Amino acid sequence: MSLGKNTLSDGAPRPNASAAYRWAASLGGLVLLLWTVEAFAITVSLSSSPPPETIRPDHDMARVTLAVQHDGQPLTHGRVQVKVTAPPQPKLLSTDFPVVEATTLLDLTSDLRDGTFSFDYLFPIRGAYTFDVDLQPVAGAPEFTPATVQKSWQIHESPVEIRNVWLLVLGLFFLGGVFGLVLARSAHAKSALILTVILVPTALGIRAEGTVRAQTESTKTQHVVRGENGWALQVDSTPAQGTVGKQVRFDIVLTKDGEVYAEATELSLELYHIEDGKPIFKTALLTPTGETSQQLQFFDGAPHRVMITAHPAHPDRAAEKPLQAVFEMEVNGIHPPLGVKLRTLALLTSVLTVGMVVGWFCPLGSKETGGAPIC
Amino acid sequence: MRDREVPQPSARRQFKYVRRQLNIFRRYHVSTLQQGLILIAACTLILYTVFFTNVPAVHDFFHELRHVMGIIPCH
Repeated sequence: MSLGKNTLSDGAPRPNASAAYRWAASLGGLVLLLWTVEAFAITVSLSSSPPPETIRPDHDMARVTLAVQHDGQPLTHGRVQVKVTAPPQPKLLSTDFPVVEATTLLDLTSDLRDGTFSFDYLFPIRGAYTFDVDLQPVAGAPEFTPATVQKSWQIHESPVEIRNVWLLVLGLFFLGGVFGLVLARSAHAKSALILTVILVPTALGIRAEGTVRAQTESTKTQHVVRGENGWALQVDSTPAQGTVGKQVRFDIVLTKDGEVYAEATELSLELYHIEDGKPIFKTALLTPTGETSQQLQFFDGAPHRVMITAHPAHPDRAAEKPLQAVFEMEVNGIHPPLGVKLRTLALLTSVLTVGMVVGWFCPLGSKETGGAPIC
Repeated sequence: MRDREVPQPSARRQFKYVRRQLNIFRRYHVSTLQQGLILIAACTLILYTVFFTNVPAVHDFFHELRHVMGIIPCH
């Protein structure tokens, strides 16, 4: 019996050579298509110095750089809008700024410079930040399809603060253990223990001093700086005072002889925390005209200094002196939600209670007779 | 003429006096379990005062301490 064309000597079906070639060609075509799409697509990369995994929240000022490529080359002309959203609310342990959780921290708009846009920022809390990047073409420049990209960064808690939390937990556990030990064994020591518990908060209360900040609200403030040759810089802050968890909009207008400057303008925006003596945000923006609007959130309820500098971007105007508006802004702190506070308090108290139970059953020393009954 | 100095009780005597005055638990026959609960309540009150109260004077005094803890909610 002769074997058919499509069978091997052992009777197994012979693979069709032409079908295999077709599969290989399809696969190659798919790879080529993907490569082409990738090469001609907008690619956005987000990096920082120091790297995100080493940034300590509320400590390290990080330089965040957004690099945009089109056709494999830096996108020289394009408008970028970056929206930074704070991490969502943690399930168990609160952050030290719970009001800013899951809120929009920055909403910036600028033209790209050599395909990049960067800003310096003090990330306030640990967790996963979301960056929403929206890219749009600008008039008079090569067109591209508008793109929206979302990136996420995980920022870890500062090792020092983790150590402090452990010290607090161990301290409470040890304190509870001492309480349990004393309650179970020494009737005479109980009085001293109660005395300590009563005197310590009294002493702390006497030492506690502070100032109450006025929390007046107004809707808008305007700052105008006039320069030479008819230049003026006007900054409107809405609202006039910042509030933690809410954005402040800065409407910035550079005018020349009373008219909005119609050409590209370089702006720098800096926020400075006066009490802590450190900058929390800094960026340089390039806007198509002298008018722009930027939105930011102050995450700490304390006075801040705002510095805004404007200057025409055209090289012919390089001799013009930059105009700078500097003003202080009060930020109203919002007290954390009661539920968050009670949850954290319950955790700390439970550590103390566990320590007390352990101290009670600790086989150390001898129990005095004649003490108070257990129940 | 100098005023005659009134002798002050020693710190040890003062402490014993205060302790005697505060020894309310024995006087009112408070059980050990109740004493433990009172201690926990007192410590909870202290923790709340130090870490969570909104009273501006207390808050401002402990503000930095709250922030270095990392898990204490502040503003």
